[in-house]
Amino acid sequence: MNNYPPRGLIVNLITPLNEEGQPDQQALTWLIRRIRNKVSAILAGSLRIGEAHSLKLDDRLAILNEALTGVGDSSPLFFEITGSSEAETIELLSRAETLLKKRNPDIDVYYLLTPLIYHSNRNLPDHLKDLGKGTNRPLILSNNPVLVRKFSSAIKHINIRTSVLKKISPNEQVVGLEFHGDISRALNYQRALKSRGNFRFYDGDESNFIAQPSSSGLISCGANLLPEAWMDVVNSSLDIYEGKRMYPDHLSHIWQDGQMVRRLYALYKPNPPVLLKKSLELMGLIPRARTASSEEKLSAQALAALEAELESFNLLN
Amino acid sequence: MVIKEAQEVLRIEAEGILAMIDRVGPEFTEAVELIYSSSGRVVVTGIGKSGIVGRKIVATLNSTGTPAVSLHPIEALHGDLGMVTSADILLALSHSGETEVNEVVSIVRGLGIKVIAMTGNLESTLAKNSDIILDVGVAREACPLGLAPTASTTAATAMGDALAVALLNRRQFNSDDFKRFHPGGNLGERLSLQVKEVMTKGQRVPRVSGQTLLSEALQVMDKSKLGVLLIVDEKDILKGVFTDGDLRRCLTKNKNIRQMTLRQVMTRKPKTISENQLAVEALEIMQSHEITILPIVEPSGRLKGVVHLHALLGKGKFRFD
Repeated sequence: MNNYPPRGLIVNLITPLNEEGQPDQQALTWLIRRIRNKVSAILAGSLRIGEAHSLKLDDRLAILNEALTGVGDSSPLFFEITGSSEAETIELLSRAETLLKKRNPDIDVYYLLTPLIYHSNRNLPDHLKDLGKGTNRPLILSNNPVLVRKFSSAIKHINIRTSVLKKISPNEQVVGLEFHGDISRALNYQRALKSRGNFRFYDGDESNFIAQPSSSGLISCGANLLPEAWMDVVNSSLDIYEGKRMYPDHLSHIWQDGQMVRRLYALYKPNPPVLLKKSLELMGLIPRARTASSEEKLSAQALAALEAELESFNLLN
Repeated sequence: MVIKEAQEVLRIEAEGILAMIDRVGPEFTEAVELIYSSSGRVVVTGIGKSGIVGRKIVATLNSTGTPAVSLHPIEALHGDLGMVTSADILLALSHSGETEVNEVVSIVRGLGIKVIAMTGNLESTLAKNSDIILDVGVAREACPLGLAPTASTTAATAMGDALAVALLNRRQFNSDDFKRFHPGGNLGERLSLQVKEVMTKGQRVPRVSGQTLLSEALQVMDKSKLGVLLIVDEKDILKGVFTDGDLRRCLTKNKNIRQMTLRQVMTRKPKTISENQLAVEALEIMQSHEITILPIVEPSGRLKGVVHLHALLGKGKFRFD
């Protein structure tokens, strides 16, 4: 049952919201159908980009339900199950399992978990084993120190310790890691996991991937905007273009795609959910740019800069 | 900043190789044994940077006693596959495992040729269609945008070196052999040829009958400049050889050798080789029996030609120690 997730580009999907602040099911399905054939997998309901941290469990399950409709049988699906506490995580996992059994028990679903949001490094391997008892599906860990800092006290460790990861490595239900942070730490993690040949080591930080790409792939929020360009960059980095690489026009094409995704990354980096949603709204791909937090408003200056940049790439509707 | 970047690249590449250490398993031994037990060559194929790494592996294998040739997958599909024999082993390189190399693999497998894959993607088409998979996956590349593969090509090169060295040890290749394989630039490539590509044939082969007097035979030997006479019957079946070394030995033992026939002095049942065997095998026979020529015969014993040590190694570039 512990299938390894695909290598390649995994889009970290934004969650379109309706006027009431609940997942806009129609917009979500449409967004997934636009992207699903251009990426290797879809991550729905992530804490930060998918704004799951601000949504109720019922809404998060509604996202899973719509994502299943959107992907059909075509793409593997990643779904984040991290709750604000251990109990909430277990509850979300249990309800997700019930939903999956009802909808399509055979679909490739991988659970993403950012454990340090609610759990310390201490006894983390045991916690993952316990969590695994509630499902046969594979788990993918997320190490995201910036996100963990946002939800935890200043004295808590914000990275999974390398020694803890080494203890986790024999647990074959854990099949991958989404990595944010310093490259030196990434290399230490890779060393801790070297006995696991198929273990997926996704970059969660697009800038890391652009500079020194992980061979498993990228979990990208920028792919909401430019799935084709990101796919090109990821395929190039994963050596899918071994033969084409010999041709100068191919290299210049990758270079141009790289410049475009870099510039857009710089644009949405300050606040990805807000800026990505606004961009998608301006591009006519979602009906509204509403975010889960009403505090996250875009200044007029930032909006003008966003419009100008999108215009320069002919992305505006 | 530049130094830090360089250090980071070097660390990424080093980690890529270090991570492979624990993943080297029984399949590596299988690959070594498969190549070692093969009477053919290692045909190495890959495209793009994998093709370049492949050519380096060919050079390393040849330098260390394993005959190898490079095969470009596109050229292979346009006729070069004809160079691959059923005795060969295909070593296919592709980091993604999803390139034109797969077409070559599917054809050669149809010919019953064993395939060893060197790939970073164990779930790829290449991996699925190969007999043995050598995992050269790396966790991270060092080049922005993946414009050029870096750690992955370093890993494949290192795995190629590991294969060559393991084969070298398996063959008990020693420093003398190494000297022997490095007299000139293209020696390894030359030794990967088949005997028929380097042999002397036709009228230039010094054939004589066993009834020939030694006095007449010496004129033929002198003319051929090969230092050997090949004694055949009326059906061109090889019966023996007579070398300039044999001549010296005759001179010390017999006073009146000019009236002797070759039948009386020839070496019967000489070492021979088939024209389809490899030049390196001819060299091994010469080395182990301390001889410098080998007659080439058909299975029926009919003489096809002769190969001299100089033809294998390039005249004047090589001497046994």
